[in-house]
Amino acid sequence: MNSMKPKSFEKVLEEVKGKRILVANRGIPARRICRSITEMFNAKAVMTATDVDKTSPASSGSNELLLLGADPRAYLDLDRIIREAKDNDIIAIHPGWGFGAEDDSFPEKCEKAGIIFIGPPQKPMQLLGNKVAVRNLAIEEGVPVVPGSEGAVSIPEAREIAAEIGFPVMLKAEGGGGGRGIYEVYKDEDLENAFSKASALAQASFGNPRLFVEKLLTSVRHIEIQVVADKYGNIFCFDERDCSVQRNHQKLIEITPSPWPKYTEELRTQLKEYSRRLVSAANYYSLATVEFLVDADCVPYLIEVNTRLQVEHGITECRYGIDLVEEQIAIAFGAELRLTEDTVKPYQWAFQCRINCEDPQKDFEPNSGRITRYVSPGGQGIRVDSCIGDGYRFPSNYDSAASLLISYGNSWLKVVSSMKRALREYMIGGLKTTIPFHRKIIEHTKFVEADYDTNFVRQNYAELMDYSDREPDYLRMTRLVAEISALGYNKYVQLGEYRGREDKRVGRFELAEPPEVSSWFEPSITRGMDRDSILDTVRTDREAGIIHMTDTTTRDITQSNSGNRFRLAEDMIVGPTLDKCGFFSLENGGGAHFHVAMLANMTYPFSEAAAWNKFAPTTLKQILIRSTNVLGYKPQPKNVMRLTGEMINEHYDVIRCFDFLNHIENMRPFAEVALNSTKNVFEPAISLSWAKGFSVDRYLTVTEEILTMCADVAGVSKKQVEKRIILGLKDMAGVCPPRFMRELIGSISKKYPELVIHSHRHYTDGLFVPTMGAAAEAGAHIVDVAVGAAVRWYGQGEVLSTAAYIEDEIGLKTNLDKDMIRATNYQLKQIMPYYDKYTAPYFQGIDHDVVRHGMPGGATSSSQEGALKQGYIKLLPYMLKFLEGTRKIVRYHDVTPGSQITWNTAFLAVTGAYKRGGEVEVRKLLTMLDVVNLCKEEDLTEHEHHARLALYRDSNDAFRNLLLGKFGKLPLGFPDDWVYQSAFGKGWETAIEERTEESPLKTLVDMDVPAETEALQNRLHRQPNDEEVVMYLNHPGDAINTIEFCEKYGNINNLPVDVWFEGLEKGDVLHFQGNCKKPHRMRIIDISDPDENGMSLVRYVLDSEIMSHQVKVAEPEIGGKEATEMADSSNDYHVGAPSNGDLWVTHVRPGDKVKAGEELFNISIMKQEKAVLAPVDATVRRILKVGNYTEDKKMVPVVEGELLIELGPAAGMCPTCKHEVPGEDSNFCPNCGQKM
Amino acid sequence: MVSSIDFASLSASHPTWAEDVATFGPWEKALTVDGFGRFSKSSQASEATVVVVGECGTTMETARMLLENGVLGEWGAVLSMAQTSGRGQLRRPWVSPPGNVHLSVVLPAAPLAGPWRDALIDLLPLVAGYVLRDVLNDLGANIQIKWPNDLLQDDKKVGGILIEEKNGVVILGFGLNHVESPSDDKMREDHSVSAGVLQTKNRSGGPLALGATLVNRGKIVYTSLFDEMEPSQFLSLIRRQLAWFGQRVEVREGEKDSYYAEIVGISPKGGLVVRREGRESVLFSGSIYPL
Repeated sequence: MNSMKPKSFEKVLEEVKGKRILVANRGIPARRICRSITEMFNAKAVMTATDVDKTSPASSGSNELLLLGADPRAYLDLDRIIREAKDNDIIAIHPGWGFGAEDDSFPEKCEKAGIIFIGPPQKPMQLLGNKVAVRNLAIEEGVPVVPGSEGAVSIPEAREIAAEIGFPVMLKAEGGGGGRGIYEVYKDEDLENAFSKASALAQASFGNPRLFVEKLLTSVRHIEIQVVADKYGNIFCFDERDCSVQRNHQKLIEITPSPWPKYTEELRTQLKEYSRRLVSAANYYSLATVEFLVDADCVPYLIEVNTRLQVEHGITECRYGIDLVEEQIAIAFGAELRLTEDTVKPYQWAFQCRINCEDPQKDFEPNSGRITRYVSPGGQGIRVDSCIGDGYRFPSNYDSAASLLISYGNSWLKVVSSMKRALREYMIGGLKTTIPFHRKIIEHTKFVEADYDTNFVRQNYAELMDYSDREPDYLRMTRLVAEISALGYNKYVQLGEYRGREDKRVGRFELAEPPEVSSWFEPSITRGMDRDSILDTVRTDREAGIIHMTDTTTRDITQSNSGNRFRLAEDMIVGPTLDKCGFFSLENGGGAHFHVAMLANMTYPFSEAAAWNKFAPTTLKQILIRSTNVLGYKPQPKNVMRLTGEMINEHYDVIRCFDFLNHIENMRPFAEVALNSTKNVFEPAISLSWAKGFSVDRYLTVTEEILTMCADVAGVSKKQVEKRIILGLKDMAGVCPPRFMRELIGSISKKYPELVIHSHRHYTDGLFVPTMGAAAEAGAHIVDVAVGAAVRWYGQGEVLSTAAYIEDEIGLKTNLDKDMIRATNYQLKQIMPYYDKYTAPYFQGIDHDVVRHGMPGGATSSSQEGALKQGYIKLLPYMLKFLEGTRKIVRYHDVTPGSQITWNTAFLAVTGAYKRGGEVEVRKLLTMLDVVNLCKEEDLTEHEHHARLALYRDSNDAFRNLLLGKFGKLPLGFPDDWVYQSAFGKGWETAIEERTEESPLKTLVDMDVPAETEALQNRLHRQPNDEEVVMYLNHPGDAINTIEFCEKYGNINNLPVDVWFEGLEKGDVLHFQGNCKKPHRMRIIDISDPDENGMSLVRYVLDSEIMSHQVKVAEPEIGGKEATEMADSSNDYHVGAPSNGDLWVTHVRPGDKVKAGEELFNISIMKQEKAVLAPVDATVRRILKVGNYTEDKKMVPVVEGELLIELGPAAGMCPTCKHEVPGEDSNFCPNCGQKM
Repeated sequence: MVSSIDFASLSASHPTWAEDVATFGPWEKALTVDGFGRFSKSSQASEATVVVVGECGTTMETARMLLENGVLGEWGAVLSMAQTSGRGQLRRPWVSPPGNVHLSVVLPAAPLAGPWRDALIDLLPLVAGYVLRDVLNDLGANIQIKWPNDLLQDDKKVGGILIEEKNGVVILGFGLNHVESPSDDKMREDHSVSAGVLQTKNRSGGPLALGATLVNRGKIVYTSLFDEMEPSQFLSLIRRQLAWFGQRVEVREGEKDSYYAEIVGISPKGGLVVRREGRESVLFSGSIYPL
């Protein structure tokens, strides 16, 4: 025992006041200890700091810094630290934890220098700190230890002991600690090999190859006792800390007291007694932690003693309301221990999460970098010891500990709830932390029930890793606003640079609500009715002279190209009023609308549909699907169709289905899904053309085929099925005149009196209203219309004018709440200007010539626009003429994808002829087209037989596939043989042999859905939900873009339409709500001019925080620092460097054709050579860097992801922008978005 | 091109080969591999397949060909008597006379789980060096590694490693100067250290015996490495095996002027950490030269 006279605590306070105490550490411990030094002792806290650390947030906790220079490892240079301390009048040194804290030469070195070491004396430190020594001491003192060797052993000794205690065993490095240097051996035969490895590793890691053997306990808890002892033999043991939640022996979470239900007061007393014995026997003073493993039967085993302040000391402080560092300092200065069993009682629960800058989902990879946002949690029961802050660049030189988050309170459940809340409040942006991982642990029932052992993390790994680490949606969304504002346009609507930052704006969107409509209106049909009562009502109403109407405002009217599809945000404005107008149904989904949700609106289409049914709950919802293609552009395998179909059934009531060839068998799989439900109404539709061969009789045959197929699917008679479906008539080009529709509908109604007829057409020819009037008069039950302000010639006609015509001119009735329609129209008048300004097509006028060329709705405009943009406007009349002629040769219906095929055929034929021989050649071609259409085969001359082969010589694969029957059976049969001769050239006879009239579904194999789901999961690093899977199966690329966009930017439907298209101006204020409806405010302070890398910095205020976001607004100047062009990983044609390395050989040149799998170039990465292969068949477009080491002996450095070779498609060209497109399975031009 | 060879000419090529032909005999009857000719099978048990060929261009190509033809699987290897266009990194020539070991091994795919799954891609060159060193040291060779994976013995290069990845399959090639080494005037102009002949305390046998040991033992070392330590531990282990660790060396990087720096460690991605005028930087390419 020490012979010094005990000092009182107050005496120490006096003694230390104003003196200089050094903390030889950094980060969290340094800051923590400085706090006690300054607050309690009024002493000067001096902290060591290397260059990396001298401006760190932790250093602000000290009064002074002792600078250690550039070497980041200088904290280990104890001699230097002591020397400098001496020079700086330091009276005492605290080693913290880590670095010198475990070096038992530190106390002695301090003593020699005449400095007080705030920690244990050297001898006891050596004794308790050495695992073998403490084990022997424990055995002497009757403290149980894990069975094993007494001291380091040789291999034969290890084998002998292992045989005695039984496998599994552990090989532990004598010099190890903190979970390091431990090897598990499960079998005898592995022992020898493991021993030599472990020994080599121990030598490498700790400079000591000696190992000892211990029994490996399989289900244990890590329980430790904090002890404090003074120089006079007074010892106080605190209640246990439960540190069982670990990963690879590294503690993640610490709790006091242990919440383990089996933990008893007896065990606690026993562990404290063991701890006291060891500390006392070693003549130890200062702080120590005695660590035990406790097995499932509550049997404890001593594992080691830590002779220093520990990371988890804070929870003990919270449990007792004391300051351990303060006690430790006082003891070092000779104070008598103040704590006694009588005066210090535990009264709280406390719980600590170690927040590290690591990415758990990447195997806890440490990450360093700038912290862009830091919001610390607080409030009742929370303590934070951190070493980071906003703007701090977290260094890579040291460990990844960022913060210790403690919650304390009077029960286990209370501290769990506080911790849950605090982890939610805690915002650390810019780098990945373990916060979301801790959230997962705390949500785990087994954790809350304290039913865990040290294997908890390992055993629940997959579950704990399944999270997505995202910042709040409103914050992410403001970055999108910053981006749009800096660019002046929104690149995600896929409309190019449609405006610049300085351009005039439509102005802020502030919706004025329509005056209230006092509505007595009762709809006769509502959601929730079953199919039969819906159809009965329609029939009864029609008998009473009432014509129903379907509104297409939010679908067919606004979907024609990527930008003019309404977002859900706009739907949410008009939807609730539309819902009350009395429409039979609202068409709010399907066709391109589904795809464009992802392509340009960054919205999940089925979530959108679900939202619709919430804000517009009354009216039926209608969707359009494209027979075999469903919501895509090519035939879907049956299993994908079924999965998509189930989602469609869930969210839509009326399912309209068409096939552009009227090949009814193509509708069968979908009929099976739709007719299977008594809730959904199936509406098979006939695609209508008004042309030679497409007569009323022809369509009656198609109607009969539809009824036959549906009867077969439903297993009922044709007569019965007539009552179960709606027959759709779809005139998508808007070409059938009133007289034709009157005759057609009249004939159908006569033949099938129970069949409900739904007539749909476009406005294109200008005859919408009289035609719909004629349809109604002839017996149609339902007609499609749209609301005034949204009506454009390429969509449907207007509701009130059509109603007026039907009521006043024809004398039938409608069942609409017209005031509610006016109210909707008023809302649309405020919305449409934004869409019109930025998204409307070039040609918006009536085009009655559609009856000749037959191009449907949106396609007419986009195709002609394409011709104009490419400088072929002078050829447009010829193209239209060609369309008119070719429709008579190869006959099908003018709707997706047929209309695109026809247009491309015309475009390619006319431009091809023009390139060959100017307008003369074009005129020749068209004359030939006339001749073919006017003359009989036998009247053609030999020359004309030859000349007509020019007509399809430039056609593309889509056209050829159509001729081969790959889309389905052509409605009026295959065209003449000469068409094949023209389109296929030499191989035309084979083409004729191979063509088929079978449904493409017959040969389509099912998709491997689990494999695709797994691919998506790997891409997302999490489990995708059902909707994401269906999105992915339909449009993989765009689905991934959308999912990733939403993860990056949140929900765009929280943005008003003006900001979506125009962004904000400097100083503008945006008020918006986040997903959880909390209001937020954003104001842009400044948008900087682009720097040399083309980056503009947008600074803005979000609520009360100032944020900044970098946006690339221009191309980097040549030689800019970050001028490297990166490969787009989602683009198969971008071939980038697989990692940082040196390019040393490039095998290809621009223009080369390459096959998938061919080596393009080779990268040497740390002298490992990696061949980079062509991912697809392609043409080499651009080579950004070339390596030719064997010739010039130069290695070309490249960075990971850097674009090195840009490939282009092997074949194909976009008709609009002349970009090459990859063959015929691409549906949109990757450059301009033109539908292919 | 691969030339088939009979035992007589193989034995005649170098005494060490004669020793191997005897050790591994008796040889069982021939089997034919399409496009490669007839092969005999050793009656001595071996876990791994080591295909011996006479003279070939390079075992790297031969191994890949045999792999693509389904003859070799994971850990399958090709050993040639001599190479006509033996290569080192960046297609540098590698002098390959009979008696030396020229061997290529098909490596298995990276572990599917655990910390090595993502780490191996970066650390493979170091792992390869570590494995070979380990096996050779068991034969009493005392090898040091010149970052990233040249094998040095007494500061002379006795072996080199070549790793080529294509289509996801990695082939590891190594050349060992078992009986002779090129003199300085035969080395490329900017060679870092002189070449030397490998000396082992224990008997290593001829090229085939040594090659088979390298494959069989190497496989065990390689496989157990992933279970036994984490990448970070591996890095601290390999650090100690580096030649000139803690010493100043000359660094030559690409086009830049060379400079002097101290080797201070290995970065988590396997780069060589050097300190130059107090500042640390990481090398992923370039060469080091002893002073």
